[in-house]
Amino acid sequence: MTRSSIGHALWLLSVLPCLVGAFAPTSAQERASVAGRVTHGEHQEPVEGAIVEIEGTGLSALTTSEGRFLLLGVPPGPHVMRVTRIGFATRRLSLNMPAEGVLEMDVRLAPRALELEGLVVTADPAGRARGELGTSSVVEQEAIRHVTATSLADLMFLVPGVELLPPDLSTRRTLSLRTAPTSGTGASNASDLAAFGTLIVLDGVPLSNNVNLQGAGGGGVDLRRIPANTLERVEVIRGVPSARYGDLTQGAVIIDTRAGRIRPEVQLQHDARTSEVSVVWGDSLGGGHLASVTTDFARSRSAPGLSSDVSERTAFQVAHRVATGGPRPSLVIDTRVDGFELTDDRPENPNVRPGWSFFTRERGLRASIRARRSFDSEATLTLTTSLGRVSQESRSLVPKDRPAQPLTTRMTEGREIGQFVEGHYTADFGVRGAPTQFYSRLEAELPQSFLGTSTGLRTGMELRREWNHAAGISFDAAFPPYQTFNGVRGFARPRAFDDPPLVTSAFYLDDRFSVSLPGALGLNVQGGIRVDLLHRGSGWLSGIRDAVVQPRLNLEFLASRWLRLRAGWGLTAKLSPLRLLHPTRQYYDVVNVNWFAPDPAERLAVLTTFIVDRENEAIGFSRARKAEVGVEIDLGSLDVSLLVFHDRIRDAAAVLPEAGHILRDLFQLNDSTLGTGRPPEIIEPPYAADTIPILVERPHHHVRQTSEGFEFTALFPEVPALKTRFQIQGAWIRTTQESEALDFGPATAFGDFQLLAHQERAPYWRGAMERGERVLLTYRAIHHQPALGLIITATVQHNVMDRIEDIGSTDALSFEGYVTRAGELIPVSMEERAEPEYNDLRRSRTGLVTTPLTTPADWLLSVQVSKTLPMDGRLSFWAYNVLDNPGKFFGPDVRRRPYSGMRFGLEATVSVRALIGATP
Amino acid sequence: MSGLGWPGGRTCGRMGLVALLVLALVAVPASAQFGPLLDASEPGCGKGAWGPGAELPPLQRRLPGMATVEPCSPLLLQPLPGLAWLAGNPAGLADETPNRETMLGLQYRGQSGTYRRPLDPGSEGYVGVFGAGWRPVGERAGVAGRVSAGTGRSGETALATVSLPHAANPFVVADTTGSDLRGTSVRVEGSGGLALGRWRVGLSLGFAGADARTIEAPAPRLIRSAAPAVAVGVARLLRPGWLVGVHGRWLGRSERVEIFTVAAEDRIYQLEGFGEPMVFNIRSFYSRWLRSREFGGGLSVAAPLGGGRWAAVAEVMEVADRHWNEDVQDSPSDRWDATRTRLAWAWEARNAPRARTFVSVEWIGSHGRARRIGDPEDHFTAREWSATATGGLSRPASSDVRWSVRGQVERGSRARVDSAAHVTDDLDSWTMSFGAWLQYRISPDVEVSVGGTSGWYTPRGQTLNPLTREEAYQRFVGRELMVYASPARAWGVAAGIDWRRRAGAPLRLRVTGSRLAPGESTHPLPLAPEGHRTRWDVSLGVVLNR
Repeated sequence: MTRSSIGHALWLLSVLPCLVGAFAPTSAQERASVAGRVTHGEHQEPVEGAIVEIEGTGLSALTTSEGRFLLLGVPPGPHVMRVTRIGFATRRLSLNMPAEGVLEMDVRLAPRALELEGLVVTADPAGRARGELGTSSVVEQEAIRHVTATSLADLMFLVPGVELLPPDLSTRRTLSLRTAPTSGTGASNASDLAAFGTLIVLDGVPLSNNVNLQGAGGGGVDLRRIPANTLERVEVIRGVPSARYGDLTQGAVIIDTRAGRIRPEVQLQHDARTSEVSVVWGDSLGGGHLASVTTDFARSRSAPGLSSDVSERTAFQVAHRVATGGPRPSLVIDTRVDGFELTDDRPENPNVRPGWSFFTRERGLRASIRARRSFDSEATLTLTTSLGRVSQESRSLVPKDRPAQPLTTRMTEGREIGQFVEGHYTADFGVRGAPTQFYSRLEAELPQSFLGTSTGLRTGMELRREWNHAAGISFDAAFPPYQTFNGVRGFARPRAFDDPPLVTSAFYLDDRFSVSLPGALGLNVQGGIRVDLLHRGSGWLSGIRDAVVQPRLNLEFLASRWLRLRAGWGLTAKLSPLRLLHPTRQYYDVVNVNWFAPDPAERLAVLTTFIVDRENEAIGFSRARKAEVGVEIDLGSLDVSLLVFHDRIRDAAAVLPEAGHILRDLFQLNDSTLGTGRPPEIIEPPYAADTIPILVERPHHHVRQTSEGFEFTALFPEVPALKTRFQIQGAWIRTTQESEALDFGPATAFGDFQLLAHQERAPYWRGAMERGERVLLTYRAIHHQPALGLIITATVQHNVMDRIEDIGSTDALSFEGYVTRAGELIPVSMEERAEPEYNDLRRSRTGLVTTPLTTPADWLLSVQVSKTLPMDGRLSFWAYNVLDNPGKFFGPDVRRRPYSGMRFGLEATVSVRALIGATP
Repeated sequence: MSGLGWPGGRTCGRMGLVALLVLALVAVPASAQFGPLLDASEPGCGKGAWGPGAELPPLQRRLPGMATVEPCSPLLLQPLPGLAWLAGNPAGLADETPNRETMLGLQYRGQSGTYRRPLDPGSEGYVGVFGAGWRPVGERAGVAGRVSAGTGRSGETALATVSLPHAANPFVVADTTGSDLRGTSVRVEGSGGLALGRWRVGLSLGFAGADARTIEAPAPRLIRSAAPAVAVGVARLLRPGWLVGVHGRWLGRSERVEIFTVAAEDRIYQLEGFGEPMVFNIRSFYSRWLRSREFGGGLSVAAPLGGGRWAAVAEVMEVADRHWNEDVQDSPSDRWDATRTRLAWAWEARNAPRARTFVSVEWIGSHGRARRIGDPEDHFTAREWSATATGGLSRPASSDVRWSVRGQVERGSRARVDSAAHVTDDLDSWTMSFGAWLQYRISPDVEVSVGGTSGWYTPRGQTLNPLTREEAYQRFVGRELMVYASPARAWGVAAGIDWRRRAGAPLRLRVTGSRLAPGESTHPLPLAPEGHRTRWDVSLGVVLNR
């Protein structure tokens, strides 16, 4: 971000309200209002005391004894009006507010949700995340209940461009919005993915995977830890988020869990692989206190009948709210304690892989408190503080068979006499980590009028500190999990996790204002700026290692009552994970002497250990730029949204192999006679020395990713005769990853180069581009019979196109140069590469998918049937891939899309009070 | 060909007890009694064939016979015969759901014994939940739906690798590891009918799925099946009570079988009619994909008669089964095409308090042809039919006692020709069953019922002497043929309690037990079944929404 662009953004933020406000000097009271009546869904009697609120605005009202309500000063544009009343199903209605006038909305409440007319059980295509103007999909609780989901990951198919998968816990699930899968063979690898990420915010506190040092640990937060049954609302911000949200490059998912007053119920779900039970209960404790408890247990078997592999999750949350200050409380304090345990157990299956087993367990506990103080001026001040810790533990047992190899377990640099290890052993590899996160945010919201324009100024400060101090990686160095005679990328050593903490701070200023323009036109503007700082030391007062300024702007122009034009632009940044900020040291063990006599007592191995520090001070934030334009058409019950986006992540951090060398001393032996019964000794000093080429994997900002495409959603009005609504959503996404990283070919080839002293050079290649392209359409038909309390949903996922391709030369002349045994890179011009002196370098580059692989168009059908039951219960049947389409497979250049096989299950919700006979 | 024969003609008196799926208003169909492990169907009296996924017999080759003994519950007011309940035409629901009923419950089914076919497991157990209901919607519509789901386990050398090993299709795969299976299954069906003036339209949707896996097997076996179904119907009200309609049905079925030989080499036997089974030694993986499509339609009519109501249906279904080995892009290796026809008529009257009279007749025929890949022409044909007549009475003997009797006679014929193996199997059979039970009101709220039934199955005709064939044939094909070629005897008992609770929904408890055993034979057959087979059914239901 240049200084001039920052200045422009700030100028725009401060001046824009003045400019647009000058067109229409209106007061809040003159803006649009919502008025209506809330009645009982069956006998039309008025419902008194229902809370009617416009989400995200702070506007709310209580219905009178006649059920009437009036909300003044509602900003123009799309909103969600929520009506809640104890004893009734919560009702949410989408509003498209005009710039002025009174919108009449009569609302009928039903005791049971499925008996509501106009029930929305899909993502709201024109929904807005609260306080956000960026493109988002909002999934309300009723839609969540209607989707068979074990975790948050299973809900994401409601977002355009995301595939529908059967509910499952047995595989790690992460999310990257607006990204098409690429081959993953060339420019990127698992660790690259850590630089890309979708922010997950749970109850106002971001979740983080930044200090996860367990294994590769790539990607974002494992969504399996978040049970779907305990979610109240999910907002998926696909477009440009406000300045409030940081540490992201690929959008944000804002999650509210169920808390407060909740009708107690038990939810059971079962299919051939997965079983789940959830219990939720929340009630008033009197005196302004509310408390709730949610618990969930789920168990998945990945391949019952084939293996005993099982994944389990236990999650709970205890929430408490206290409000003081009367009906409009001036102080609200929310306290939440939540925890989870997620285990993946792959016990030994003697029939399949004797001796192999794997176990991993994560246990997390988090406490957060949010205090919100309201002032008479409608200003609010909110302090959110959270402390969370995840205890990670994993262990793998892998049988190894290896020939006799010289080995050292030295932890410091230097030379020593090693040992020969051979034969069969079981490598016992364990990891213990403890990612801990402290997060605090102080935010002020200041609604005000400015030249006739009401604005919602928001400013805040974030402090974050994450660390991972634990036992770390453990294994017997003499029986390592992997060991080869050569060490292209060095060898592993046990190590404790004692890295410096990851300390950041952030400041943001964000403003959203709405103005009425002549001719019932309207304009919504949200602009903001966010500054993230990465600190060098362990505290927030330490020096700054990296800083990034992120201006953002979203515009929404109401061209008419039914047409909205939208645009957004912004910069975002994602913090590099700890393992790239402070990478582990790399060990290289060089064999100086390998005297392998028939008699073990006469053998001699001498090795020298070198340690390379891989730190790169330049590692900091990965920057991204997001831009989108779109149009939304709202014709009452027909909602159409079309957006074009272009996201670019530049300089994402990832490890990059660098060529280097280490010096090897060569020794003569004092006695090479066999049968002496003792090993020989080396003769000092070394008689010679040579160089061993190595590759050092050092983090760099070198990966670029561009995603472009369009998304559309169309929710058609209900066909009255069929009582059915149709929805189509889809996305075309093309993702390109580029890297200038050097490619030294397969590790085995470079390993041969290390070992063969007579091989003087090895070729290298530069850069590669991966491209993935996907067109995914989802059709949903939602049949609703309120009188029967019945909803039937059919979802067709139409994979129109999937294509992956790597772009890079692979012919024999594609090498860029060669690396010498001293690790020196010698480029060779294109003209010279065909010369005979380079015969040894002319070999085909491997590993790239240069022939585009396209998956033929295919589709699968999934259905769900939900029915209310007596005693406030509900029964749902679901079937994924109901026709058991296995996926098509056509030819050698065609990639198969193996659909998961048909899965089916039942889900039942039972009211606890009905079970025990209490009055609901 | 070396054949075995039996005398015919005067054997009617030895007819056995029927086990066919018959009409909507008779007791539990026999196909459910000895159906596959993972047939998730709700227990109870009536409505066995109304859903779109109802499979027409003789799709399943059933065990010779088993008594149906369960009395209908007085708690449920069963609908009278009609377009929906007899023909499966959903358009009739607009007129045929005068009352509102919902039942939810739990059920257990278990059977075991040595009297069995080679591909039957030695024992089976199933535990599940079920729900069924129907109701009018406003004045112009009616709906019906049912859902059942459960989990089951089969043990003692279940050799079949497919969920319907005794389908009419002769292509069946068996493996010899004989590991126990555990699985889950579900069936969901819903129908709705709407009146538009004198016209009626209706739609039914259904799905049945099953997922079964071996337990701790050296050669794990996975079986997964999905069977969606849809039916549409149109009817016209000719005059009050008179409905005539047409309907169409489509049933799909996809089944995948995967066998992993991770620790032991497995031997697969592919049965293809009456030829010697083909043997495959598999070392790592074997898969077979079975896809079936059924499409057809029918004509039905319903009208009042004699204080009750009658209905009739004529339906024709075309069946196309395709089987693939290994990858699905290959041409199907086996094909089976069949035409099935059903003619049925039923009448029921409730012309006095707690009194019920019903009569039904049904004829079902099937003609199928099988062809393997590379065959120039069909190598196997099967022509089967069955005719069934059922009648019953239920009358109050006093204010507290009601008696019921039921009788059923079936004539069956099955002619199967394997032109490749030069084998013909031509069997006719008579089955006859009688049942009676008493329902006694011991208090104003509680009614208990007990009953018993008995029947005989008598075959005649000729079939191949299995001892003239190889060992694999005797093991998998011959023994099954001898089950059908041997007389059988069945009997059963039932007891139930219906409790109308003063506070809360009425409860229904049913326990039935039945036994199947060889009958007396004047011509002892080689490889004839021995021992007996016992089955127990227990269900507990609650009636809601009255």
